[in-house]
Amino acid sequence: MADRAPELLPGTLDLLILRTLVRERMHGYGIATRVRELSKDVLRVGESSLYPALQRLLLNGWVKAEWGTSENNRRARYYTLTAAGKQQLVAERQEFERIVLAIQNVLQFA
Amino acid sequence: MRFLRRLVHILNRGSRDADLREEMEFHRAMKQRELEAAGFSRERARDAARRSLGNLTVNREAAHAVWVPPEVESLWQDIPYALRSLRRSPSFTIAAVLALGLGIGSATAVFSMLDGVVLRPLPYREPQRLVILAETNAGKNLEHEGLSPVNFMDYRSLGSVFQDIAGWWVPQVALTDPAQDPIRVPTVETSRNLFRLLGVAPQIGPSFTGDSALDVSMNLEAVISDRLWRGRYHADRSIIGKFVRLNGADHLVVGVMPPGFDFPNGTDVWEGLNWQFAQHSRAAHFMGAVGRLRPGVTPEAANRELAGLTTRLGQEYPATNTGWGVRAVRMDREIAGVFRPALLALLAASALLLLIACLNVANLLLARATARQREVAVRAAIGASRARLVRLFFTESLLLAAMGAVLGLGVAVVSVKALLVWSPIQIPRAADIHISLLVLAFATLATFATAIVFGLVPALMTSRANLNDALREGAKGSAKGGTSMRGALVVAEVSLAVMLLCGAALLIRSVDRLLRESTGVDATSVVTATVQLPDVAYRDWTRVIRFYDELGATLRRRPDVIGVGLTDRLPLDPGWRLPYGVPGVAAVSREDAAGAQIMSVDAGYFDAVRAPLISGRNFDAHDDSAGRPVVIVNQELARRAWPGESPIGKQLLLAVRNIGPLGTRLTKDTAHVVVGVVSDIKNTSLRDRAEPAIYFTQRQFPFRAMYLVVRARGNGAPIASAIRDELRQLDPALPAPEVKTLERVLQTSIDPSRFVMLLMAAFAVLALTIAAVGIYGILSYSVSRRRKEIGIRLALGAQPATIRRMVVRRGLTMALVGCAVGVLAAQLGSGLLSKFMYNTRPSDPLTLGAVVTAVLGVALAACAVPGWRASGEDPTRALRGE
Repeated sequence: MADRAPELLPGTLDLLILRTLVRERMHGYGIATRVRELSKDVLRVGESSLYPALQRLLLNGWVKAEWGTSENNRRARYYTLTAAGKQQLVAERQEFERIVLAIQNVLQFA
Repeated sequence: MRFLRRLVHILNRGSRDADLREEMEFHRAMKQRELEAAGFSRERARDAARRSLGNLTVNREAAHAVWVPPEVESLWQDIPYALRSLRRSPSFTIAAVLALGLGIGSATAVFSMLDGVVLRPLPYREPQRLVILAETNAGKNLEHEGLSPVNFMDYRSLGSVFQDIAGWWVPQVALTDPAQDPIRVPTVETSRNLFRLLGVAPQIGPSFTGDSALDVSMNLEAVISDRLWRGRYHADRSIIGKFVRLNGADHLVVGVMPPGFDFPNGTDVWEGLNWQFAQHSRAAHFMGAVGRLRPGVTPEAANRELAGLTTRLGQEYPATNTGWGVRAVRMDREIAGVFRPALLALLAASALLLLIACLNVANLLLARATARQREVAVRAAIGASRARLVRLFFTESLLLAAMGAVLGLGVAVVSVKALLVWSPIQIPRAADIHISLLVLAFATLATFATAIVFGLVPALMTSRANLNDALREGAKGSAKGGTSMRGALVVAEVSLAVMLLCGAALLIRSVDRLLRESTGVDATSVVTATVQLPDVAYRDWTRVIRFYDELGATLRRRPDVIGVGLTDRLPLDPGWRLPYGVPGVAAVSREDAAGAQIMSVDAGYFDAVRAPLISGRNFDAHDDSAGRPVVIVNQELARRAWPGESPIGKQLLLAVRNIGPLGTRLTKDTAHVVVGVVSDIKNTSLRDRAEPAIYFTQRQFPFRAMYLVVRARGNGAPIASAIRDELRQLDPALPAPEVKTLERVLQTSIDPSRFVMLLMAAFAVLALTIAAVGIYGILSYSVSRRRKEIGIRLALGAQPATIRRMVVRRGLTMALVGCAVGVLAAQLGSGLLSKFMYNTRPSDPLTLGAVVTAVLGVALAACAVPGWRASGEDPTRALRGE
């Protein structure tokens, strides 16, 4: 599953998924589309890493899933952020920003 | 939390899988739509969408792996395989699981009992400072007597030893409430400091007024148990401040003890004591007492101080205190009683049993491993990695251990329950007995370790061995040392079984001898019933006598009644010990002066229990309060007081006027005429000869509480209900009597020996079973190892019987060596059981012979199957090596 997502920094997939779910509940396809659109086609979430990632988030209790009806009237599985997920998002985001800052520092001053 | 979610997921595996499948299909459809919208043809869009999602199965498995790590998953897959493999050799599997289960189960059960009864601290404040006091008289062979209340006051004054002492005695009490059935309640009348001394307060209610042993209030107050409160008063909190009627007198309820408070054992009502300790006799030993030692004072130090005190008391009050001492025993020891030595001995036995069970399983696994060398070689040859093989055997062993553990838990739960239900003696602190999870875990771990270590051997062995050899030769000759080690193991198993069997057999013989011991009465078809007249309604003693007269008369009218008698003490139950004097006899030793048991009976008693009068006459209707005071003595007293003379017509001086609220002598004179001599009836225990006894007639010395003794025609069952009916008719306010056969009453005294005997027997049978499995295992293993050799012998003309003998001889040799070691060890260990043995020497040849015969019989049976298999071997097949 790792060989399909080299375009993402390790661990950032969870962060991106959590972030997309902040505003509303979404199904897997919606998450993938949203990430691609918002990143202006730079970031593509491979389906083969998306679903294991979602399972991992479920296992950790950061999201929960329920069946709903999609915009085109099909049964779709929607993911919602939980309270623990929101906390996790804050924590991961801080961590991410810290690392990005560190990398920038290295790139700038090395 | 994570674990829980994981578990829920695994349990719902099917539906979660379907979820994922549908979800991904949705994703694919959406992708296809997107592509179609971008202008691709329907087919190309479908293909592209499918491609972009990759291999669906792989994706699903990747998603699933998040929940179940792959290592666990593959272990899970090994289980059905391991189960199949175990099912293929059922005798091995059953033997191993049985050995493990019985080992784990018995160790857990015994330790659970030990933990609840002996080890767990008593539920009182600083229980290690609590001691139980009992008076002793070495000269009279009395080890555990009640305290005299007057002596109690002296012990209490040892301020450097005791912080406080509380005392109680056990009256017979009937609880009568309006609109409820009268019942007899286990009651103590206790000094008012008991609860404070123990450090337990009532769950509701203010407790007794006054809190020192000296506080005597005339208020009649009672504290009741949680059990009685819930059972009879429906846990009604307003019971506090109400009255309960005890022996006809209203007592104010001042407390309900917390659930589980059970001291003295089985008590439901604690009445506040309302008489002065000092106003009693030093010769009356009837009080229970518990003391709290001062911090830092050990029971040994307390006993030294007490010994000094009782010596002084003996000098000061020679008539009553000579020879008497007092003993302080740690309360937990005292409560555990015989269970402490019994359970400790059993714990040692069960630990050995568990060890033997583990060794046995190791043995079986080793044997199996050698037999499987070929299978392992084949697997390795067709490409199984070493790690994979190890895991396979690991799984098998794990399963074996798990099944053993489950069986063990079952055995533990069932045997503890059975023990509590069937124990012939009341087990102290029974409510505290729970399955000890700690020990269960320990025993299970030990067996897991055994099973795993020895289960892995085949895999490791094969990876070392030359595959070619293993494949070509089949299994051949393992190390000789291994075989003799296994032989030694079997010998150890047999000797343990023999030891336990010897113990059990010696106890069975002791109990049998005790049962044959004559008590001096003929107990067959005799029924006894407790009758208890309340103080208040029967304040007038003539009413008491009239009641018992009527009761006797109505029962005698029944055709199925042969005899009816009354006594205040049944055989084996010591009466009040009081001093007596013999006028005109100068040389009466002080010991004689100090004591005889006094009892009160009616004219029908000796006849009802068939204790013959040796000389003189029985009591008659003229021996009443108006007549001259008369007594009947037993042979022992006659022999001591008037050696070589007839006691009839002689005088005895007896000063006793009344015994508490229980009984009162209605005659005036202290001089009593001996009118008869009755044969000795044992009045302390089955083991000891009768103490001197003096019988008063119930008409001159009536007691409110008596035992009714009825000899019936045929069996006593119909009489029991007749007695209940008659009592109800005579006085409906009386509690239902406790009716027992006299045989049952007499047997109660040997119940501790019987209990230990039963446990030992159960353990011995367990150990023998495991040993038999061991013999069977090692022989069938060696037979299967020597198939080729046996085949050659048979082909060369050996008789099957010779082969059979060869196998059986090997098994019997091990059994014989085991017997020899076991019998010897039993001789050394019999000291542990001396408390429960009677008139039986550990070297009793009959007992030992029976044990050895039984063991050899079982061993022979265990040899038979492998022996037959060896002699029935088909030479051609054996030689072909299949």
